[in-house]
Amino acid sequence: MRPPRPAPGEAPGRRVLWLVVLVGLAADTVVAARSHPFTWAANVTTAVALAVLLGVVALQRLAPSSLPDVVRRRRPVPDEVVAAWGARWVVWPALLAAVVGWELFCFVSTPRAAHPTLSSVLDSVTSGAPGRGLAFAAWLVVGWFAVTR
Amino acid sequence: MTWRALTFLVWGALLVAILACETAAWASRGRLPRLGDVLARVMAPRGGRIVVILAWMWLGWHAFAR
Repeated sequence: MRPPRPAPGEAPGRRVLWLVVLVGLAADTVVAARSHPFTWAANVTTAVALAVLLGVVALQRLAPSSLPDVVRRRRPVPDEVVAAWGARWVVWPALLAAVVGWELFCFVSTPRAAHPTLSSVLDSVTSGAPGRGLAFAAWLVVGWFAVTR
Repeated sequence: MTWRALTFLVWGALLVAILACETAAWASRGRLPRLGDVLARVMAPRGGRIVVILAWMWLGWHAFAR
């Protein structure tokens, strides 16, 4: 009886490679947490994350079988599920419109201290290493979500 | 109430509204769409996917590098 063949993208060598990528991104997050905007460290750590994401997108297109399940594209939401939502999905665009509207109002209002935009709020959250590290990790998770859908 | 306090209050209210909608959708077990479901639907066509990924890239550069 033959042993089961590993699934595409799950061969031991590739698994080690993807583990290295994961550990690298974790290290990138730690360095990013300790960096400051407008510095080389901030530019490089952000660029590394962008390069990894673009690499995954390229592999999804050029060599999808080389990817482990965790970074493969998922199936889209089935049409029947979308039909069952009816008009209830409109709540999300409405909330997005509210966020964009309030952001624009704050953006054109002065002084900035009295009308903080989302960027200003984010700046205060990311001014310390723990907040910056958490925000960077959350950004990576959103990126993973975006490329796997 | 100052403008600054009011602005933070509105940002907080919007965050609570987003979390409430996501929680309600999660508890509805598929009867209501989650934010991820709507995003996935937006990203189904190639154009939508490109826009969302570019927005993610811009957000990261704007928030962490600049």
